[in-house]
Amino acid sequence: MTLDKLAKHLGEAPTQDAVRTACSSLSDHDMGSAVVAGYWCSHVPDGLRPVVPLAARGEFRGPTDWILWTALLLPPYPLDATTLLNVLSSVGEDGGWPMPIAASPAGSLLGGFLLHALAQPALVAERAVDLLGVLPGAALAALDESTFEQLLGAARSRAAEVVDDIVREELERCIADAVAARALAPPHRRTSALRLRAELDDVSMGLGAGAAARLAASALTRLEAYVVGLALDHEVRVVQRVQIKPSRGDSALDDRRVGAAISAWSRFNQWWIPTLSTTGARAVPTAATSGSFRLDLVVQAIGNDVYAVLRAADQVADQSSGDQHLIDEHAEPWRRLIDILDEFSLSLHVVHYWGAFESRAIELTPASMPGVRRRAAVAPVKVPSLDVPQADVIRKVFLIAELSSKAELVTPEALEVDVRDLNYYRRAAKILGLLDEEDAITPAGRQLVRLADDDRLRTAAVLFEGSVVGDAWVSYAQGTTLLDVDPASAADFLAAHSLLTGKTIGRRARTLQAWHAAVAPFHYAVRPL
Amino acid sequence: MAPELSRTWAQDEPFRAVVGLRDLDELYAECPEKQRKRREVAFAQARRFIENARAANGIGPTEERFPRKNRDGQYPDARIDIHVMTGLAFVP
Repeated sequence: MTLDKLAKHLGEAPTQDAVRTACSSLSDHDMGSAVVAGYWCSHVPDGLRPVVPLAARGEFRGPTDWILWTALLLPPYPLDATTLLNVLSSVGEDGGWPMPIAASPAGSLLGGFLLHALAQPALVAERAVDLLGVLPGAALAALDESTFEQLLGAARSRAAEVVDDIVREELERCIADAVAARALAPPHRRTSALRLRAELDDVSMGLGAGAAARLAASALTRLEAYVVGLALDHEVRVVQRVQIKPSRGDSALDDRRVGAAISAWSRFNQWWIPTLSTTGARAVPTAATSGSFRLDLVVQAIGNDVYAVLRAADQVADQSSGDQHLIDEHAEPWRRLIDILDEFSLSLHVVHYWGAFESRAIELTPASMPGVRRRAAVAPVKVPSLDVPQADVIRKVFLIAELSSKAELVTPEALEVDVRDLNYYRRAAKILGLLDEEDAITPAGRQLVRLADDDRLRTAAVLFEGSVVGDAWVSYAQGTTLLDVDPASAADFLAAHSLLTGKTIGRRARTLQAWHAAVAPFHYAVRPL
Repeated sequence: MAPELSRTWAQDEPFRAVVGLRDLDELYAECPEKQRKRREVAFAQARRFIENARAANGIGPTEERFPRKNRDGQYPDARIDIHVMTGLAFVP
């Protein structure tokens, strides 16, 4: 039977016996290991899952079968670790370990799995101590010194909990056996990450594009990511895979566009990783490949930080595709990222891998980006304190424009305020757009000073409404114009949607209320009686 | 050589640990003195396994073999096997 047909049988196998038979037949094929590994990494029904390691026990020992064994030992670990412990125990006892498992990443992954098992309830933990006693030296030599010491410490402490003398002494003998077996084993030879990647590539190409390739893909993709982040110890790193593509199929990716995308994504990483995962993890580039440009980064998190990063990655994926409005702190980084992708006509596809776990994808394409932009745009704006006026008398703000238009000095005496307040009034003129940041009068300022008093207030109503703070206040009121705003809401609005704190909120709320009272009667939406 | 001693169960309810431990005690009692000595470690480990399974609210299908490790000078056939074919066993 062809590999594709066997893969189809395995993928559709309804019973444990059918899974076992399909796995057994696949073990006769050079690349059958990758197909079974793919089945293991995909959504296998719970009842069928334990059959895979059981089927692997006696049959997968060919040159590429490290693929299956590595996949079996990748975290996150199955809820029931007992089956895998029993299978490893029998592999250790009947001499199946040395090849091809010892030279593959499965060797060091075993350390992580055993540490996990030793932290479980006694039923699992003591089985893991037993396993230490039957593992051959070659398997134990694949563990780095520090991991092995951690294992011994954990195993000794679990053995010490056992009251029954016979059982405890037997566990202690297993630990001593492990120390002796490792000491006698020849030095471990690791296979390089480059070679492992090449083997994965070979298998991937050999599988073609049929049912076998489709089933194997979920294992090959995860293993490739795992190998990218391969470390000397047993820890499995989170790998972030970023794919950059031109939005228009016919345009070429040159260094200018790739550079812009990487730079924008790097800034985005610097926002979401610390902010959403609340870890200090950093992303470090590890590999890049051509085609649609692909960049792999290792997110340097271990232990519980891994879960925090993966949860945050899912949150980012939700933000990229959901329908929830983005809060302001989240909206701004999204806007910056999308601006760059738009400017350079690029799409982005990002997935996070941790062992056998694959996060939801972050997809930014011409189809999805307008949605993100819309949700980011309607996010309530946190108004910077510089954009909130503290100058109660709006007519004095007009006077600044008038003096500036005549090139006269704007002095405290002219405005009848003190020096400190003069700065606030000058700032208020900028908030309304009457002065620019260099204190020069603007066209809007010149227009205003040409007008009579009431018309100045009519103009000011529009300028206030269109200012950063006025616009945010109208949005806060869920209204259409300044007339929809309740002046009494000023303090609550500033507390919720500005960067102001403490007593300043009340002080500036008074200014908003004073301005509202001054311009509202002259607002363009007021209908004459 | 004496025939293999065994206890089996087939029932709708999950098999209880207390019954498993009693069965194990009965098997121990049925063993001749020489066989008991050869299986000293196996009996202790099997008992511990059932107790651990009880603490974990039972265990699903599994094949467990005791002693966990065959050591030089021991009799490889002097074993105790526990097979849970289906369902849940050794519940509290």
